[in-house]
Amino acid sequence: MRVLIVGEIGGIALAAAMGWLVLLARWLKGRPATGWLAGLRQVPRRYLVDVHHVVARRPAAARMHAMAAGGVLGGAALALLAALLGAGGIVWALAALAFGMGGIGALLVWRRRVPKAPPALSGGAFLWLPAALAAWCVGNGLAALFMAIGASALPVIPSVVLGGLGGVALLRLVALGPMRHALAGVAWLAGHTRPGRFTGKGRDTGLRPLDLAAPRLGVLVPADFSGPELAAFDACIQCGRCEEACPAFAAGQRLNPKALIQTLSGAMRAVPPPYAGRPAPSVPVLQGKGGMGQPIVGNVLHRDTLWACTTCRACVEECPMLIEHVDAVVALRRGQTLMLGATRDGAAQALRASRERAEPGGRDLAARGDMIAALDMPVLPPGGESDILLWLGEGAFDARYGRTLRALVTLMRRAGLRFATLGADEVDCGDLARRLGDEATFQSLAAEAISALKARRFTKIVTADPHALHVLRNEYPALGGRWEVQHHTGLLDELVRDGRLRLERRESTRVAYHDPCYLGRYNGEIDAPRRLLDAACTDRVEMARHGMRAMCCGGGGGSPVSDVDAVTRIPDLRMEQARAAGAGLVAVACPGCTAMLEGVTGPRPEIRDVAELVLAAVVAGAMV
Amino acid sequence: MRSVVLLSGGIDPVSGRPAPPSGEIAAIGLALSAGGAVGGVHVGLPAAALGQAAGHGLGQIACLRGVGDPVAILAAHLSAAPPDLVLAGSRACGGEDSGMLPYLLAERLGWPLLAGVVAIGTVADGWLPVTIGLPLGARQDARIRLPCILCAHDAAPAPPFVFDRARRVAMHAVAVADAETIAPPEGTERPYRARPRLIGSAAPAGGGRVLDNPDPAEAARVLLDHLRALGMLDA
Repeated sequence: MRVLIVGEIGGIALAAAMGWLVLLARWLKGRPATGWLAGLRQVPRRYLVDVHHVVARRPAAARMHAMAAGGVLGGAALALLAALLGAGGIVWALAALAFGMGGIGALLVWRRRVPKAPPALSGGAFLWLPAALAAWCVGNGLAALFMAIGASALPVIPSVVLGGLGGVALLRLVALGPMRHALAGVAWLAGHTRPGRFTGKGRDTGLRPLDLAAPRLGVLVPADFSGPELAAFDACIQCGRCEEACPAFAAGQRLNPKALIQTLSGAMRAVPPPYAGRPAPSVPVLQGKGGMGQPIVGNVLHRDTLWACTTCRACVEECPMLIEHVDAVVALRRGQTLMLGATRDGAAQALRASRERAEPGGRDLAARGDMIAALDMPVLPPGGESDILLWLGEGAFDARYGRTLRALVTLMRRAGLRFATLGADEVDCGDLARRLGDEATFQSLAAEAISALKARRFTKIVTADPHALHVLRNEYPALGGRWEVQHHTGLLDELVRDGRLRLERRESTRVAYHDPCYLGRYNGEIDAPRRLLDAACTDRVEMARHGMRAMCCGGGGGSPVSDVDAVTRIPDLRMEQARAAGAGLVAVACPGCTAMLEGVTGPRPEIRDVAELVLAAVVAGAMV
Repeated sequence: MRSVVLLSGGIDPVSGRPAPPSGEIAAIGLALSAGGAVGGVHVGLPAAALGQAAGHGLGQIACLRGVGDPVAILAAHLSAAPPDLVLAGSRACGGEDSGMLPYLLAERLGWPLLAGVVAIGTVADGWLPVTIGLPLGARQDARIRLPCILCAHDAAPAPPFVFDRARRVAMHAVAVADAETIAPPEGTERPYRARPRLIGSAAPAGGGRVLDNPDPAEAARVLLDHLRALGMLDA
């Protein structure tokens, strides 16, 4: 009997290992990754801590997964141990208990889609998953139970057969997708392309520089992705949390992050298993054939999908498998932009202006300060010295955001700070070019900005633009520019805390703070703006989606210049959420969010930058 | 079909940074649409704008290293191995550029020239059909005998910029014989002054005659009389 059980469970385990090697062989056709195998020892921690942390945001799903996965694996391990070592009834009983737990897990998996499946979940082969899990757990669980009580071979054999059938079904579901995440997840977690997410601050959001001398820039075919990235696409469990969070999907643009990852997974295969989840909205079915050397965009992936992404990282934040959707989008964009020049028309204009005028709007760099000209801002010449360098950013060209900058400058003056701008030497930081995949223009803009900054002496950089903040703080270090970079809300929070600005709460309508993606998710700064608003306003409310899980305004990632078709506008959706929270005023902290949300037509809550609200509430400053 | 695109060391008018003028990018697009071998020619040292122009679709650019009149240098270079088609923008953006170069070159080579070209067709019997862009979006078909010089319309479709092509461009210096120096322009320079609008005030209201399908000689006589009556021709 023991031999039979070892043969059944061991055989299934061996077959699973073989399946893993087959998958691995395919992933290894991607770009080589260093230290991939060495990462295997990190897997248990990353799986049990980091993955579970995300899964547990939905406790029911976490319970289901812990029981199903724990039961399937734990029961098998214990039964194998008992059968191999000839252990006593107690180990068999424990194995039976674990399988029993797995059986309950299978029931929960079934309950997830019955009586009504949530629309974000995939159907198809997933509908067979509970049956396969149940057969494996019930069959093997009964076998273990009979072994524990020392029953005869008669009831054990059919139990083992049932368990074996369940095992075969689970293996089949590896090929079809639903169980593939278990095998691919191990490889992906071992070789995760952003190890910084597991150490230190737990945040790693900057894009990596591209070697512009490499023969192939970015990704055109699946083999251009690195091995671990390919494993990541296979690791997707199609839970649909990303598509629930995706602003582009909500607005009816041709992007569904789940379908995107499934498409990339399918792109590796000539005959991919059928996808039974929601597709990207209004995308025609592409008839292209996949393969490691077959083009992705235009063949299996619709072009518009690529340009609809606002790079807000909401999908990444929600993904329990810690997949890096945005990196995949940017890698594909890099291939399209750098190798083929296949950008949208509006984006091509912005990129040309970035190349030729160092400013995506094509405006004269000397005009950047026009909106704050009345404040007579000092300009730091090369070799000059100041305490703070104020990076104005692209928003400074905009008259509306000029009001924010004037509020900020007024507050900084009242606090007695010494600061200056780069004047006409401030080029665009390159954020837009980089998100649109034009790494070459980004690197040349970054080199110019870094040399302009290095020619001056200052203690820190302050900017009101979270996109510039992210680029300067997180992406310039890889190119040799290291400075302390602070967002204006962080600076104002410091000034209020140190008593250099004294605020008195102003009676106001209800204020809801809209987190900019590049300040919140990209930099983890969600508290300082809220502290400021609490000090400046009497009544602050939270929108349903806020903080690290806030919804994007639709302004990032070059999406606005890419003329993406949509059913509705992302900022309209966001404004609806603000209304639902009862807000009469939406506080913002980013020129992009300001422009997008102010662009919402009809009666709507007012839009004010945090700096404007703080200025309205300030009663005393150090210099008054 | 061998095409040569004339490239300038363009300067962006707003930023003063190197940038290929739109007309030259459009010229590259026309050259590519003609098919066959396409190369760029620039008189002078390799300039940053050339690499950017190459990103729009040029595999190689010859930089003619000679001193003197660029028209003479270009004419000598082009007549040594005449291409079928020479394309240029309508005007460079380098500051001193007059937009005269293609015309002077055509005069010196004795080639025909058409300006404002937005599209070209396929050659038949040595004639190249082209479409010329006129104001207000009007289009005019024309044909021109090869070899010829075409000046692209600024609004002709521009091929996309591809960084991969820009970084792969082969820019080779070609030593050429020095040419005569440019004669200083005739005439005197004086600051611009606003001139009164003559046409509107000179034309008397009403008057004139409508001729229906007139005899050409009769029509010419009526026009001349009318112009004399307006005082625009000597009596």
